[in-house]
Amino acid sequence: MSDTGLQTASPFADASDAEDLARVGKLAAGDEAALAALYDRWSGRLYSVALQLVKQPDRAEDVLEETFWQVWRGAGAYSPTRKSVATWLLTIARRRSLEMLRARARPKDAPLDSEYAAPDEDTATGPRAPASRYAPLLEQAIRELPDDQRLAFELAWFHGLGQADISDRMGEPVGAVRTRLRLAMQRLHAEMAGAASVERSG
Amino acid sequence: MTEALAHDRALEELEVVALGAAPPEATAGMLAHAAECADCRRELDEYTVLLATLTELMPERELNRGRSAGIRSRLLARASADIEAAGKRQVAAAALQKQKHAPAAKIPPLAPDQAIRAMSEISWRDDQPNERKPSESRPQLAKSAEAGTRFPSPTVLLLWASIATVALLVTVGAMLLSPDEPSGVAEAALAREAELQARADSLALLLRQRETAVGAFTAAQVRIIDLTNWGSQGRPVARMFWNPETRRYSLFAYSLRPARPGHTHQLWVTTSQGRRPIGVFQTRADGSGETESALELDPAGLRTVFVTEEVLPGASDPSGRVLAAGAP
Repeated sequence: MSDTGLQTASPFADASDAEDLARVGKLAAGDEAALAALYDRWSGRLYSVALQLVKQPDRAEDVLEETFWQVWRGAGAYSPTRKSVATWLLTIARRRSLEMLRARARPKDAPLDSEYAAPDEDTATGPRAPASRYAPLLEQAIRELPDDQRLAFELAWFHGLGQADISDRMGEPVGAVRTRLRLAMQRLHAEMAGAASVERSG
Repeated sequence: MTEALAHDRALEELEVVALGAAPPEATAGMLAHAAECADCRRELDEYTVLLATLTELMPERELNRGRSAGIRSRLLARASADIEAAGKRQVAAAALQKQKHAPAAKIPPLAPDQAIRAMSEISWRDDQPNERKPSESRPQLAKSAEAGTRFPSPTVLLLWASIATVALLVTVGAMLLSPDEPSGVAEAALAREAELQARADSLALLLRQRETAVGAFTAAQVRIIDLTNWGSQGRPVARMFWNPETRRYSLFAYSLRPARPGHTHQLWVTTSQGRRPIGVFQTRADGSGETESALELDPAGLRTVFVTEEVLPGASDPSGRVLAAGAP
């Protein structure tokens, strides 16, 4: 794969990336106010990611707290040359969610959405994380994936299932599932890299 | 030690690993390869950006305002405690440094490394061993090298704190009144004061942490489960404290050899419904270690607790031999 320039790109078209970077720098110096600011800006998005995967609000809240705690502790090691702050935060939240999900073995035949709880009426209305400039493109690309690739990808991405669980649910060999996951990811990557390339040249 | 995959094999795993859908062994092998291969590392990073972008497609779920405020408050409190602990260590270290250059004290030194040692004995849960902590990381639970004496007794701690306070007053007074050392008296007194204050504060912090820990483990509903193995001759190599009401548990290992590189200790429970993993942890060279997490379970359904060694980041089914086990 050639260098697409995506590696350090922020997935979000928002000038506040620089502010986030400054906040992470302050975190590394032990600035609690920067932690509060980062929480206010990102808690909503990270909670959504966690809840999508772990399904239960109380578990998603645990993930959220531990995600920010890891951010606090890991800020000194954060490398902007490898990831944008947004990517770093979302990756930690997803990894934490998957850890919690897999620490609680889910019955193989459990309905994937059965554990959703209705949101409380008293919901937070703080600043929301910025919208992605690539998300609509990727949404379209996912819709256009062949059905078997899309299903495998959605089970992995939106529900946090591993390849063996996807194999069980789809009734297909693990090898076939892996191939579908890889093809889906490669297709989505190509779409995003193409858009980024056009953006850079334009 | 985890064996890095060959480049071609790593490429086959890359997308699935990035998705988090690969099994632990393949994930560990792929990541070990990527650590040495700039091309694979860059490609992995690009997929990470892709996946971060895809979070936009997840439905927005709003967080309860009150709960969000609670999480925020807890985080800031934890951060404050983290800073406080780190600050005290720095003050104590600075005071000790000054003491080396200060005139001899009029009273015997109060084990000048005690505060430093006390603070350094506060262990940290290290979720990301490779990530540097912003400010010395957070205090969690005090430990001692000797099992069974993990915390100094409250009497000893109170005695230390009292002695430090009295010594502070005596030292400052003695130095200010000393006729044979007129020069540098004020500076020496201030240095001594800073040292002793740091020592007293450190001990008070340790005492508060101990009280919190003791409170958590001595509630009437807490279940205590000793884990033993063949070599321990009935003595626990680890002990688990589980509070079914708060649905939290803490496990303290006393003598479990560290997991091999690329592996981790993993904790499991068996219930009437089967077995399931409940957490992973690492132990230090002396066999000690801690972990704590959530455990939702019908207390009557808990049958056994056991520890195995698994490939990082842990397994969905135990594959290694049982290192320790216990039952309520």
